[in-house]
Amino acid sequence: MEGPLVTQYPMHTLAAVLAAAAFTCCMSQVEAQEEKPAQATSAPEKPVPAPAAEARVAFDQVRPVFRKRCVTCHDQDRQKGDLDLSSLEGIKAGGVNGPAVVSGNPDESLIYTLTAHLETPKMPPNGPKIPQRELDLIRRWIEGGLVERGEVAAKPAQPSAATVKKPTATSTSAEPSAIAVGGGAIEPVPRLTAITALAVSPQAPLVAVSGRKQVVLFQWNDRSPLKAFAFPEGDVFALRFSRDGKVLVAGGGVGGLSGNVVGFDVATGKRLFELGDERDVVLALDISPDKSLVAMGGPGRSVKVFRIADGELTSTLRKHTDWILSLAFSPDSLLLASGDRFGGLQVWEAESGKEFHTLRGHVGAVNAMSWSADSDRLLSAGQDGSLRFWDMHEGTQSARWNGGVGGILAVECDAAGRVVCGGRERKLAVWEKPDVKAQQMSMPDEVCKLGLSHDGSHLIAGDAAGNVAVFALASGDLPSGDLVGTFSLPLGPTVASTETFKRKSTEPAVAKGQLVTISAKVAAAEAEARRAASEFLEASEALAAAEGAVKSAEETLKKLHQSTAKLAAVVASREAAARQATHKAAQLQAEEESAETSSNTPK
Amino acid sequence: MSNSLNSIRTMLLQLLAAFGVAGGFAGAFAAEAPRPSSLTAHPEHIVLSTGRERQGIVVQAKFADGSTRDVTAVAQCEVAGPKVVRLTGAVLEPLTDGKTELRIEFEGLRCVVPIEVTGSAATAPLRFRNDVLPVLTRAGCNTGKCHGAASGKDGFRLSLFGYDPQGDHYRLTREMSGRRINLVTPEECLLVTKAVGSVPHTGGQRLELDSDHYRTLLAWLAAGAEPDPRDTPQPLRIEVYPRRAVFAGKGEDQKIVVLAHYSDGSDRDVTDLAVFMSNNDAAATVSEHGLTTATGPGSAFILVRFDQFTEGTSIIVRPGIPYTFPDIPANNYVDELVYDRWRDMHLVPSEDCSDEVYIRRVFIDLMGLLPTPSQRQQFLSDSDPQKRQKLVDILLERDEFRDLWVMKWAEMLQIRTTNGVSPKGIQLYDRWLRDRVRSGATIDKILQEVIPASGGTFENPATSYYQTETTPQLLAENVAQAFLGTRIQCAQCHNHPFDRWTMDDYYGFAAFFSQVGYKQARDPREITVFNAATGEMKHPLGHRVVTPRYLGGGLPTLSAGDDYRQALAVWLGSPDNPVLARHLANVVWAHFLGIGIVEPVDDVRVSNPPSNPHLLEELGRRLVKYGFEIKPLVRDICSSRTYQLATRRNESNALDERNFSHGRVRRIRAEVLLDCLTQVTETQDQFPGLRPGARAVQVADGRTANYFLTTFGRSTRQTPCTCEVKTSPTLSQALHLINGETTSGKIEEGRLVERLLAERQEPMAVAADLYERCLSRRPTAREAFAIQERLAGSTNLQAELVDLFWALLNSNEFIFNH
Repeated sequence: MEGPLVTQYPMHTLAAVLAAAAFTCCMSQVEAQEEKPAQATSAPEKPVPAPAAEARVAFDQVRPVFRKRCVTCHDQDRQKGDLDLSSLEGIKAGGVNGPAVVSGNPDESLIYTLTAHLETPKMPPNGPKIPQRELDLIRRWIEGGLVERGEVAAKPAQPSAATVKKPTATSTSAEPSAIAVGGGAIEPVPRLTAITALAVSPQAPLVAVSGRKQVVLFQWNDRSPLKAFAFPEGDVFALRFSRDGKVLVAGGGVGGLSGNVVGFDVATGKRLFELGDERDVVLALDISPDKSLVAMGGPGRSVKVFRIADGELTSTLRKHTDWILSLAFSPDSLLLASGDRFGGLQVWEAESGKEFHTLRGHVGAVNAMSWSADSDRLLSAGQDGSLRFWDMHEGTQSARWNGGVGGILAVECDAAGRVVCGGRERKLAVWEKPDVKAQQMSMPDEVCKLGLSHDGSHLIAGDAAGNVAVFALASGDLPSGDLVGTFSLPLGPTVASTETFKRKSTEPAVAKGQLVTISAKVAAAEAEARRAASEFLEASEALAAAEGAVKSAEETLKKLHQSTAKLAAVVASREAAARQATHKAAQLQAEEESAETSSNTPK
Repeated sequence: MSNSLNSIRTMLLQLLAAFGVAGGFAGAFAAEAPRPSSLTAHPEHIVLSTGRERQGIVVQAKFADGSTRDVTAVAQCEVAGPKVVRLTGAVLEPLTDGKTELRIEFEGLRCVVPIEVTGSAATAPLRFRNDVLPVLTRAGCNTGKCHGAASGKDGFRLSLFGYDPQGDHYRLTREMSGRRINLVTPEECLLVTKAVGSVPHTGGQRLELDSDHYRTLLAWLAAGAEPDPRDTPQPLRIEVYPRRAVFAGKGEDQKIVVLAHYSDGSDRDVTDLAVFMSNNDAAATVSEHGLTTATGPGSAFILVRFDQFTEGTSIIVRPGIPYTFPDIPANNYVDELVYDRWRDMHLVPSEDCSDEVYIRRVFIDLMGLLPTPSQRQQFLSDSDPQKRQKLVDILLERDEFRDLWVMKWAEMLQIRTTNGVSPKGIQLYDRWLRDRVRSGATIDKILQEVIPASGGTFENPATSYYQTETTPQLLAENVAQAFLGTRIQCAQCHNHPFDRWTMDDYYGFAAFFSQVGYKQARDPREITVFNAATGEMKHPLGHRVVTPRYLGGGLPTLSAGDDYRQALAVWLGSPDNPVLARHLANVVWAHFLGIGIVEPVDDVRVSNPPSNPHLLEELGRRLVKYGFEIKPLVRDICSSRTYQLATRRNESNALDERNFSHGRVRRIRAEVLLDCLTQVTETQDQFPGLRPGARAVQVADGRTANYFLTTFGRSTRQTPCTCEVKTSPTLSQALHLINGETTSGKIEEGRLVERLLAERQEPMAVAADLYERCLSRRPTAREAFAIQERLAGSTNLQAELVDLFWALLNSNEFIFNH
């Protein structure tokens, strides 16, 4: 099964990456591409700008512009003016005001004249005009005859290659480590932020954690950072390992703009598949245990299920009325459960997408869920602080208890039926079974995500301050669990800031022969100087911030140690109290009995 | 002396200016305005306590004619110690700690603003409530149609106008960890990208890239977006400068500066964080930066909101044409205060009304009836110059006057069969109120008995007030609206967006009613109201217990077992609470002038200021002096020239609606109209529970079914709102008068025309009599001619005269008071 998966995709994947032109870096691609001819014109040999034919713009390139600027009002769901700008067909179909584009003639095309503010109503409404470079792109696309893709599609390979280069370049120089993990070097972050996604490998002491446009892999037993899988698509909000631990699926995107899901080959770091093309980030996902399906969801309120083999969307599950926050396939791959922010909990038939159960009970967001090993029971956890088991045969709630950690953000249950959860009150709890608490731990901040280790011996959790903690779980030979250690993403100044890249590219290129007044030149030079100065300032500030962050991280660690010590003391004192209580209870009972006997005697 | 000289000078200058610009731009001659008479700078004292603080100043010149001008830009401003502060434009920036002053000079006038700089080296950290949340409010993020909606917008909710800063901080930073803010790359997190519109945002772009507000947001994120520490200074109040501006004409403008005072004693210029709104764009508009511009003659109130506070500046815009106040003597203090306002606004009042207009107006207003032809004749023939005053004095002692006010108080107390209030209960309740008023109890005394009332609803009918509504919240809302003129309903769920009331105020006031106990009395129709002495009001945010707090006042001293309502009743009528008297005075005023000084009368609000604050205050003061006895106040009002103005407008007051510069044409309210109809047709009505011939104003139950009264908008007393009484004309009213049984039925039943014809013989005399009865005037020559012509060609005089009667009763002149 894995064989074909891996071999089938590399070529396809690369092409997909190049052609799809991931939205986040697309704009920079466009800039870079535009910059080229501009620079060429400044060279003495070619005074004439490159003709349109040479750089015919394809729909794939303008699509991100429409997507960013237009589709909030003009898409399939919300067609203002009966116009859908989310697809080429929609654009060609036009709207109530007639055709939106006239091939080859941008000045007759409403899509251009309205956005360029040549005609009214000005678009987008109530906002500034969209940047000139995006307007030019639209213009050139129309001039070029509205091509869908084609020879141009291959062209932007150069800049985007940079983004895919990282993994391939570094994977060849993979350092030997305990676990075979591919991927690139970890890019340090200037400051820690909430752990938005975390997944623990079901096969090895490996944990994947959300990073800044990357997924960072750690070996949790010695807490050493291993590798990173680049995720230039944006922030990572969901991570899942396949049951065999060989595939890591990451989901995320750019808030309010784009989202998708990427499958990585853990061993090589190669991208195996890319699925979804969402309008907002992916907040929840799962890969079916048989590795045939991927389900994803987010603010779009629908759950989408894709078949990995051919990338086909097999079903779109619409029933939820709020954001999808949690998804889980049953271990037998037959069912799929989904939870939303309004308390909605739904179970579907994974393959067909048919509704199976609607589970009512949660008040507030259903943040996390997990299945029992036999697929008979679903465990859900929510903002209301409750943990609930649902019987899949009856479709009813079979157990419900308070998780003891405040609003629950993360949950997992293991084959033995043991439940671990973490939540808003910065606490983690381990439940042997409903209402029987085995252990309680704490973290410096709200516990956002957690996972149980492959052998069930440890619990790895991430908090809202960016800490990842490893706890040993209580077992026969270790009666009270313990904090093994904590780690976090490496801190340091960022390497290539996209900010500076953008700034450079927006610098207007000056064509030869063009009259430039001296004052303008002086102004430009001054601007350049100011910019350089501010960049220097920024860089030094970032450095200072990074140093500060390292210090604070050290302090946090210290505090964490202290708090665990305190916790141990508390546990000890509680145990003592419990002992006393039982003793007293026994005493009382004895007294009662004696009282009873004494009251019985007169009769 | 100098005043009149100045006004002549002003006139001359204005004439010159008018010539100079050929009557063109009214605003243009502002440049040639006369020399100012005084100069003021705001704030009057400046303390800069952090290095980041900037303070704007505003210099206002006042002219002899009462107009003001913003001279900040043209006045000479100089800092005495330039090392301490730097002045750029009109903004001060601290340099080093120390004391100095700002010296301002304009046209020979001087003023000085002391300045103190402390902590210039300190850079206070940015705080969510004080720095960040105001940016979001200013950008409009938390308005009711955006994320401030009860269910949020597009999945993200903020508290409306930021009433819950802690909750907002939580929702931004924690509700969806890592989504809305991201500390790694603040400029790329959703809070920022949505605000600047770099990702699709339904609300569009709200912040400019690289603006101060944008930088504040980023800096706060970069510093870790921490929740505010406990010792963060809380804003306590805001001040708005200048308090008032009188523009000489259209086109002038005035910058407004807003200062916030904090719990640590510091203050801060929050002009760029405040939200500005004008309540009348036709007179003055305001920019988002607080620059108000005169757009036309009239008055406006510029509302300023920051944090949970609302304050404002009142603006007057003069027509910008030459003005002289006519030589009319003031009858009493009412006129003096009203004239002041007219002078400010450059309004010329209408003429005095004629005696026949006056008698009709004063009869309807004081008695709820029309003057009879003989009463009219007697009044007109009286040659005493004090006869209007005399008439008022007579009418004030009539039972009809008392009936009218019993009805008004009954509306405020919402006397109606509802919530199981039985017909017997209503009868007792009504009789109790009527008896109390007859025995001379003033409304404040009546409240002293109603608010703390205990006992059975039959045994002590005042307790019925607690049967009409039973929840502490509704009782508090009703008392606030009916007796303090304040609508606090908004603050049940969020701080009032356009007023000072917060949820704390609301629940504090409701707490007075949290211990009202109910039990069944022996008679199944009766319930017993008592002080349960237990029960607490909980605040919905955080569920803490809220102790009783007077609305806009202090805390009562209460000990266990005290009836909270007793404390409230005492406070209501005490000198600590001028609001009750002011509100009641306004109710009385609105009854006679057709519109309140605060309008609607029960909507006192910072953003709905009184049109003449001095007048309102004085009327309130007088009412207290009169011991809440309304008769002397009514006498003051009815003998003022203001009350006696004709309804015909002149060029100057054509657009005036709020300054009482002309009589107001008012549809007669339902009960009075029916009584007048009954009176002129000489018929009788029969209302349930009342003797035959009783008047509609005496009906006890607000729910009594009567088609005429309902159609003409009688108050159902369902709420204490003055809007329950509807006087707007409708089609069904017109149709009912034309076709309905009331008009023609009463004409037929009364047989008035028949009797008059028999009495007078002369049909024209009968016609004149009908005119006098219905309209309190004789037919005009044209009308008389038309009537005569019609009667001359008729064979059935009685039918013709009945038609005339019917036509008179259908005329607007009859159904309106003018």
